[in-house]
Amino acid sequence: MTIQVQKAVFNLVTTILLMGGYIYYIFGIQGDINLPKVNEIQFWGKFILKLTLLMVISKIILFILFTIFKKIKNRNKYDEDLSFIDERDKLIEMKSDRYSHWIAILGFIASMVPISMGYPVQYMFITILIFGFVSSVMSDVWKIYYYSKGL
Amino acid sequence: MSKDHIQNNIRTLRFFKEEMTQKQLADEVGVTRQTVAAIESGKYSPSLELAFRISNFFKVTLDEVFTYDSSKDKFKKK
Repeated sequence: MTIQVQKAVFNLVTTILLMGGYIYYIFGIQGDINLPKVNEIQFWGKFILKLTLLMVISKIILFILFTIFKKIKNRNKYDEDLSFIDERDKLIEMKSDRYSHWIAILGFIASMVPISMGYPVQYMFITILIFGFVSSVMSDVWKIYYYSKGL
Repeated sequence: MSKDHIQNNIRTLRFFKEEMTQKQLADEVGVTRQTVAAIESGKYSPSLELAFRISNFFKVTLDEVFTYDSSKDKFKKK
């Protein structure tokens, strides 16, 4: 498995674990406090802001740890720079990001459907979150696909 | 997604250049080893700039490194 594929797999796994962990914490461990608030817009605003912060900070820390782990593991082999990206990496990143952005835009449009049908506001946020999660996961899946199958 | 219509002789050229490794060539032309491997296996067509860098490194012309077979190209004129 190449280093780029390893990075994509690592990103995919951490996204799933962080998102799953955060949802379990909010609706599982603190469910008694949070579940009665799901109809409030303020709750969803805080939910998304906290999730964004958690994702950004955790991913930075986890990638630092990943880099340290790879450096220690490959100390006897030739040095492979984790931050170095060439034209093929950029092209793969652009292609996978383009498709994942389409999913995110589709999610935003889809989130308008429950609102227009008169459903509570929580359904809009749930739709946005689901599509946001799927777009993030698919971005890594497409990266893995392009790295293994070629552009 | 192998590009059959664009073939290359990089593997042969590397062999005649003191059996240099993919990593050595990658360092010379400023890409990753995986990109050199992808070009060699036909999974990736390099940019014109990279193609020229590769041919310059081996001191050969571009068509001695890359060959194009129009009969295998799926391109259709509009």
